[in-house]
Amino acid sequence: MGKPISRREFFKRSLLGAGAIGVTDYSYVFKKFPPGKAGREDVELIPSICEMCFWKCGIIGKVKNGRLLKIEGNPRNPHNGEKICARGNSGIMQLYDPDRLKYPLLNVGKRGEPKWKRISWKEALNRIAERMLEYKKKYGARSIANLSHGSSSIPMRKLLKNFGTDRIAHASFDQCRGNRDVAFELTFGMGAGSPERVDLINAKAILLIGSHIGENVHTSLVKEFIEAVEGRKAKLVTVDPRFSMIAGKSDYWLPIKPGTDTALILTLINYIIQHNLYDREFVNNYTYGFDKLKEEVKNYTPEWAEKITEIKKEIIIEIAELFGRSKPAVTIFPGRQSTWYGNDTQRVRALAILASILGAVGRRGGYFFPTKIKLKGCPCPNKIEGEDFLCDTSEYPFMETTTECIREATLNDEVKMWIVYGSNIIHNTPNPQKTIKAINKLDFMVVVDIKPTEPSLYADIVLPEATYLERYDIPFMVADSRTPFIQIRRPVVQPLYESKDPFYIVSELSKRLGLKDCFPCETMEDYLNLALSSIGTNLRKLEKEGGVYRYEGKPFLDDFGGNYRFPTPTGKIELYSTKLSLNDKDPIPKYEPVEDPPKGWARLSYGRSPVHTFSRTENNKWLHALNPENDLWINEEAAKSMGLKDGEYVRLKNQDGVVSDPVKLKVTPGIRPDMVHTYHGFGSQSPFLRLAYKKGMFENALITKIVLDPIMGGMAKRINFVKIIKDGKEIDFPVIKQKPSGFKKKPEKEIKIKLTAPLPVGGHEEEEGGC
Amino acid sequence: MAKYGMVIDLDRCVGCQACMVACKAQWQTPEDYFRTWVKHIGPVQIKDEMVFTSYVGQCNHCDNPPCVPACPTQATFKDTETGIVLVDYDLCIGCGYCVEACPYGARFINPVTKKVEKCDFCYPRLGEEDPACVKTCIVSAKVFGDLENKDSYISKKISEGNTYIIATKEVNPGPNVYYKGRRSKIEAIIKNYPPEKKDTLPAKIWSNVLRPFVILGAGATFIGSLVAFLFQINQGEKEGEDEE
Amino acid sequence: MEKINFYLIFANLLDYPDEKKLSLFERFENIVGLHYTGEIPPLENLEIEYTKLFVNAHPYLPAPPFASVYLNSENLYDEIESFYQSVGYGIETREFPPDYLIYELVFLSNLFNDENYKAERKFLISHFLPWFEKFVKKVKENDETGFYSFICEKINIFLNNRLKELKDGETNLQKRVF
Repeated sequence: MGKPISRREFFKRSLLGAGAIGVTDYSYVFKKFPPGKAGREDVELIPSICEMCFWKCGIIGKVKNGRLLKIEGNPRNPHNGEKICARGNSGIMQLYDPDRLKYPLLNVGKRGEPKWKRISWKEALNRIAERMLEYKKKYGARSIANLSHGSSSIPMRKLLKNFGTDRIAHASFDQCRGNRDVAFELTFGMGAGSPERVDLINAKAILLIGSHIGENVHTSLVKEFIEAVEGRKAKLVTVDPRFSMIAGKSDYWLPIKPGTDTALILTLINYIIQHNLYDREFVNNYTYGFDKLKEEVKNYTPEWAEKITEIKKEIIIEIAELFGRSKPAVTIFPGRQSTWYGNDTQRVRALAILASILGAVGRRGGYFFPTKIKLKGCPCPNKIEGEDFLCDTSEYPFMETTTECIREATLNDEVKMWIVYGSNIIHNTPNPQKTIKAINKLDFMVVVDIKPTEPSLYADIVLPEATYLERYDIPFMVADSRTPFIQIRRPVVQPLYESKDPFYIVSELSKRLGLKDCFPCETMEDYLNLALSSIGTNLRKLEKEGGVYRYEGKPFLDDFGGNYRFPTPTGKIELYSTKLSLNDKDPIPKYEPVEDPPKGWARLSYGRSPVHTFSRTENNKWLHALNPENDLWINEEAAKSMGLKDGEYVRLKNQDGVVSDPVKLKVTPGIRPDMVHTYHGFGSQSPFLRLAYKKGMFENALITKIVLDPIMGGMAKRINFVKIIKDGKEIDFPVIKQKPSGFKKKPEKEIKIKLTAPLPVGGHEEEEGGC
Repeated sequence: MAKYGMVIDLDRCVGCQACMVACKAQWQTPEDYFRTWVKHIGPVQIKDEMVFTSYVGQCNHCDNPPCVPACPTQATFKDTETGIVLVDYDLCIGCGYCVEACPYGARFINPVTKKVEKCDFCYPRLGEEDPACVKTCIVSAKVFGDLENKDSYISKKISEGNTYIIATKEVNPGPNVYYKGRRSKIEAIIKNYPPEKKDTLPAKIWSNVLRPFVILGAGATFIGSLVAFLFQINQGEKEGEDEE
Repeated sequence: MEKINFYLIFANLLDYPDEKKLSLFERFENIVGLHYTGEIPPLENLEIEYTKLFVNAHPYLPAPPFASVYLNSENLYDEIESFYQSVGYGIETREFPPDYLIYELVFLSNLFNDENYKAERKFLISHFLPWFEKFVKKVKENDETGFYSFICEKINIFLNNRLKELKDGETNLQKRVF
C-alpha cells in the first residue's frame, strides 16, 4: 500500500547526515498526539457484505481508528438483518490471519515445492501479460484457461472472454448446483436461484431431499426455515440416509437408500396424480405435457418404491396425502450441492415436476419468481475465437465448460496456462491426483487468492487479493427475493500488505493486453457509480442509506394478473421437456438404478460443517477452535460388528486403492449401515495453513471415480466406495439388511398453563421482508 | 429490581455456533476459550426417539450460585439490581475456587489475564442492546429479558409451557437459564452433561484444589449416583388449561 | 557526527531488503560492535530468504514478524495500540496489523527520540523482548543464509543490554548517538 509519506518535523532531527539518505524513516507509521489523546476514539459503523461464504449477508464493520474491532449483521439488509453466522462473526480472523498472502510472489523453485521471491505488482502483471500474449500468438487464446469461484473473479472472467477464451470453469457449476439449475431451466425457463426462491414462511408442508439446512448454514434461509417449521409449524419431511440436525426437527424422517431418491419422487408424483391430489386448474393453465407425464410415471407405485427405496409404503402414501392436502403451499426444496449419483439433473427435474403438479410455483408457500432490473456495467463484448467448444457437446447438451473439460484439454496439450482465481481446485475437485498431473503439464500458472492454498504451491506467480473486508466488488443484485434489493460491498478497512482488489488486477492487466476499452473506469468507485446511476443513486448516497437499495418485486403469479408466460419454448412449465426431447434425452425423468456398494464396502457421502465454508475457512483461528477436524459418521451396528469404537482414528481406502489420512470415528445410530459420511473441506494438504494442515480427512482424494451427468456434465461424487483400515488392517463392512422404514414424529403432550395475556407468535412476524 | 434470565429454544437451535463466536468477538477471549458453549449431542437413541441436539449453555446466573460463597475475596457476587452474577476484576485473584464450585463448568481462568471469566449476560451492553449471542442467533433460539416482569417476552415464552431447567434432584442451584424443546432433547443434555455436585464450602474446595486426585475420585462417585431428573418449572400447574 | 537512532537502523534491516537499506549494515555492525564474518549474500538471495522467513513460505512460514503469533492474547492489538496511545502515538497506516515487528521498532525509535526512557523500558520488558526472543529463535532455526540470524541475534543481545542500561538509572542515560 503506497501511503503518502509526510516527513514530520519532530522526526527530522534523527535523520541528519549524508549517510542517512535513502534510509526509510517510517515517519508515516505513527502520528504524534498529546498523550492519551491519540487517534479516533469513536467507533465507525461501516455497512458492507460478508464473504465468509457466498450467501452475501449484510454486515456492519465496527471500526476504530482504521482497525476492525467486530462484525455484526446489518439490520437494513432485508434478508439476514442483524443475524450473522459463526463464520460471519469470524471474518476478522481471516483479515488478520498472519498466514495470508501479502505480496505478489514469483516461484523461483520447483512446482509443488516453491521458493518464493517477493516481486512488485508491476513486474508480476508484466510477466503475466507477456505470457498471455505469447500463448495467444502461438496457440490461440483458448490455450489459456480460467478456474474460478466467487464474485471477485467476475471481472477476470469478463476480461478473459474479451481476450478470446471460453475455457472458463467455476466449481459451483459442475460440482455443486449446475444440474439443479439446468433442471429448473428446462422446466421453468429459469434456475432455482441463489438464494433459492422458496416462500418457506407461507409453506404448510416442506420437502427436503438430501439437504441438511442448519448444518449447511445460509443465514437468511435457516432463519426463515426455522420460523416456518418451529414458529408456524409447517410440516417437514426430510429424506436423508443420515439423521441430520434438521431431520431431528422433522415430522417425517425417511432414511432412504442412497441413489434411489428419483424413485421416491416419481412415486409421489404418480400417487398424487392417481388420487387426484394435484392442482388441476394450475396444471391446465400453466403446464405442458401432463398426459405424457401421467402415462410415464404410472408404474411407480408405493409398493414398488418400498422395495427400491427401503421406505415404508404407508409413509410414502401419508406424505403424498400431506402434500396433496397442503397444496399449493408446499415447498419442494430444490437442494443445493446436488451432483451425487450421475443422474442428478433428472432427479431435480422430478422435484420440479412434483412442485408443478401441486401448483406450488408462483404461489405462496411454493417457488416464487425473481425480479431483475438492468444496471449499466462493463461494456466489453465477448470475443470468443472460433466456433468449436471444448467438450463434446452432443454428448452433454447442457454442459458449460467444466473443470473436467479443462483438465482433459490440459492433459491433451491444448491448454498451456491456467489462471486460478479464488478457487482451491486441488481441494474442491474430485481426483486431485489428476488435477496435479494436469498442472504439471502447464507452461505457466497464476493463482490469485487471499491465502496460500494448495494451488499456490504449484503456481509460477501468486497474486494476493484483498479480502472482502478490504475491497469493493461489483454491485450485488439480490433478484432472487420477494423483497429484491441491490447492495454494495465496500472496504471496511484499507487493504493490508500489498493485497489488491480484483478491479485493480484486471484493469491493470487489461491495459497490458491492449484491452483497455473493456474497463473504461479508472477506479472501482467510478465503476460502481456508473452502475448505480442506472437506479438514480450513487455510492455515497447508498452508503449513507446503509448500503442497501430496495426495489419492488413481482414474486407471485398474482403480480402478473394471473397471466404469466414461462420463459420456456412452450411458454409453460415443461413437465415434458421439449429441449430434452430435441437432444435425445428422456423428456420425462425415469428411475435408473445406480451401482450399490459391493459386499464389504460402504458408500462415501459428504456434507458441510455449520462453521466452515468448503475448504476456505479451516485455517480461521476461531472457526478452527470450534471444529478443527471432520469426523466420520458410521452406523452403530456396523461399527460394533467391525470392532470399531467411537472416537478412535482410522483410515479409509477407496475402490481405487487411495488411502486417506486418519479420521476420527463418530459411531451413531443416525446413519444407514451401507454408507459413511463426513464433512467436506478438511485435511488441507497445504502446509502453509498452519492450523488446517492435515487436520481431518481430505475426502475428495477418495473420490477418484467420476461419472458425468449425461445432461450437463456435472461430476457425481457419491459413487465412491470405501473400506476401513485400522492398524494397517482392512476391515470389511458387514451386510446389514435394512427393513423398510420411515419415522414419524410422535406428538408430545403440551403442558400449558393458563395465560392472562395473548401469546406472541415468535416475534418475527412483524419484520419487514420476513426472510 | 430486575432478575435477568434467558430462554433457549432447542427446537429452534440448529447448532450453528454463531452465538459462541459473537460472544468471543465481543469479549475477546483467548483462542480456545469461550464464555458460552454449544455442544452437539447425538444422534443418539433416547428411549424410543432418535435425538440430535445441541446443549447451548453459559453461566446460569443461579438464585443460589455456589460460586459466590466459594470466592475467598468476594470478587464474585450476585448483583442485587439485576440478579446477574458478576465478577469484580479488581478483587479477583484468579484462585479458581469458583471454577471448581460451578456445577455447570461455566467458568474458566483466562490464561492471559489470570482472572476468572464467564458469561455476564453482556452486562456492559445491558439496557442498550441484547447480549451478543442473542443478537446474532440466526434462528432466534435465544431470548433474553427480565423474569420479574411478567409482561416481558421472556416471561411469556416461559409460561408457554414445556420449559425446563438443567438441574437434578441433588444439584439445583436455581439456574435462570431456561430450556424449551422436546423432552428427549433435555433428557439427552442431562444424560450427557449433568450438573456436577460440588461442595460449596470454600474450605472444602481449598483442600480439593490442593489435592486434585481427590476431586477426580469424588467427581466420579457423584456422577455415578446421579439420577437424571428434570425439573419442570411449571410442574405444579400441570392441571392448567390445555389449549389444544 | 550523524545522528540516527539504532531502532531505526534495526527496522530498516529487518524490512524487505533493498540496496539502500542494506547500506546501513556497516553501521549496524558498529552499533552491535561485531563484524559479520560470513559473506553477505547477493540481494536476490536475501530477497528469497526474507520472503521465506517472513512473508510466505514452504512448507510453512517459519518466523512471521507479528507479536500475536508468539503471545497468546486475543486482546493483543488493543493492548499494543493502547500502549502506543498512552504515550501519544497513534498508528497512521494500516498496511500491517499493529503488532508488526517494524512498527514496534519504529515505535521504540520514537520513544528513543522523545527521550521517554521509562516507556521504552516498559515496552521492551512487558511486550517486545518476550516475543522477540521467540522470534529470533525461529529465525535462527530456519535461516539458510545466516545473515538474518546474525542481525536478529545481535539485535536481541543489544536490546537486552539496552534494557540493563535503562534499568541502571534513567536519569543518567545519555541519548546514544552512532
